[in-house]
Amino acid sequence: MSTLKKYLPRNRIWLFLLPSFIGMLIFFFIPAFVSLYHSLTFGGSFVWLRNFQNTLENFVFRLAVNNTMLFIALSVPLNMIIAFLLAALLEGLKQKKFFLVLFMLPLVIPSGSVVFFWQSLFADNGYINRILLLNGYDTVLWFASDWALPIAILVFIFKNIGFSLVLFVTGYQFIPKEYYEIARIDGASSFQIFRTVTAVYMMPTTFLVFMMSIINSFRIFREIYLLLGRYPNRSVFMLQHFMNNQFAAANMQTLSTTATLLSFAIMLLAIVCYTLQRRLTDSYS
Amino acid sequence: MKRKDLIKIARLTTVSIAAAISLLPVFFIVFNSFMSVFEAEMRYTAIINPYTMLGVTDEFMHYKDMSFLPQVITLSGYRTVLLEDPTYYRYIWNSIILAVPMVLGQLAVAPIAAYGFERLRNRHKDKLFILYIFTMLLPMQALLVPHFITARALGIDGSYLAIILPAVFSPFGVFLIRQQMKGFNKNLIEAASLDGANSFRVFSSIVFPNIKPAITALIVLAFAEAWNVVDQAVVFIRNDYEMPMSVFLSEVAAGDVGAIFAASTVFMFPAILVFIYGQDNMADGLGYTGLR
Repeated sequence: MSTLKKYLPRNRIWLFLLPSFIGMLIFFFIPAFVSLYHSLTFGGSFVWLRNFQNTLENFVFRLAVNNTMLFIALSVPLNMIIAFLLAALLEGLKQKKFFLVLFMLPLVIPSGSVVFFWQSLFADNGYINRILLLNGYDTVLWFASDWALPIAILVFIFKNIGFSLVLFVTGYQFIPKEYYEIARIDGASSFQIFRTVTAVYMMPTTFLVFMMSIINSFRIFREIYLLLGRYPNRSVFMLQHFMNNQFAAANMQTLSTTATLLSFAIMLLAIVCYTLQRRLTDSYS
Repeated sequence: MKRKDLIKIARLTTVSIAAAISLLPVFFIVFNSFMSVFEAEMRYTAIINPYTMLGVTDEFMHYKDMSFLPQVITLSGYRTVLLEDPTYYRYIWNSIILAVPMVLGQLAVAPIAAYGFERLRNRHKDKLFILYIFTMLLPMQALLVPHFITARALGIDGSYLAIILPAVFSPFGVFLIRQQMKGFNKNLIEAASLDGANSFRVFSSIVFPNIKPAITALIVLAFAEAWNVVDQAVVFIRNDYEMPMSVFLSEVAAGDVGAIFAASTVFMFPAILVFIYGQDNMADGLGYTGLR
């Protein structure tokens, strides 16, 4: 007992952490190891990285990974640019808070209802096709064509602009405003001011928005899945479709392997982002 | 008029248009909720029948006659949801008994854990915190596997607990609140500790009142998430009558319309209320997540 006591911190602060830590152990850390174990075994015997090899060679998996990466590569920057521009427009407006509330509202709409809106627009018998038909054009099967990807991106941007916008706007509040005065007195040009003050102080926020946008790009799958179904057009068959189908087939090996790969990819991304941000911020200040 | 004023007006116009566009789905749902159930079904059905054949059709289907304004404004959709059809109450009640424990649980666990992280003097705590952040970043699909394994092992598979418990211990709240505590004046805590206040006193009387923005942000985001739970419910809940409203609405979207607009509006209402209550503090609470 006395040896144990030596390792425990002197005060009882650790008690505060205990509930959360136990919960994390039971619901995240321990099952993550079980999942890792599943991904390294097959039928009870240890197969090292065979499952990984099989999954990585799986044609459907590759399609899903490529599509997911393309979706992220297109939607995340687009979302960030629009949010940044809106934040710049909002800055200095008296009604800033009011507009922020409006832009945040789409976050709390139930997915099913939003999906109904998009469906009414883009379905085979949707409103857009109705207008095309009325004007003598051929109808377009939006969901079954390559239009599915732009539509998925549109749905993502509609839902996530508000969140990124709030982060940008609050990040902007933390810039010491005196610096703008000083730079202006020193005769710096607008671009110089942007590069030396705005860009430097907005760096942590920008990385945060980037990270959050990537997380949210995985979250939008709920809407995409409801809108486009289980087996959508090839261009929008995402990693989550792949995983959902494995889940339905109760294929623990492939499922665990995919989850492990996805987790490692996200961790790697987070580490790269964090180091990059540190380095960039340090090089300026 | 001065150039400055013109720029301001141009800005205001651009932002207003952008806001109006981003709110189109909300307008669509809320305005259509004042449509009669019959009108909604005739407008949004694919089936050709005596009522829809006068609209736009081809030989296979009727094209949706989408509209932001109903032909006749009526509360009949709301009457169906609130007075006539008890299934809506059932689903909303399911949502309540799922979402409320999810949010309250996080509120019980996250702030004290964040405080523990902030005050604990242990060289391993930062490694643990990094693990928390990693877990927070993982997409739901990657976490469903671990949650499924635990639910099986604990025998809570098929019950609400399988959805509630992982949410309660979600690391996001811990992260959010700790980031705000970092900006907090440490001297105050030291002074109170020296005066003989124990950790619990310091937490409840000094720290807790000062982390309101982060807590508010947590309430709003956790509630929005819990209120909109779909995937976990589909995976863990077997019985149809136990599904939350969010799942019901998403199934309606694929099938027949009924009173979906009124039901959606009713269902959106609590989330919007929580959001409006929290919006003043929320931006501040989120703002701290960017600081290291």
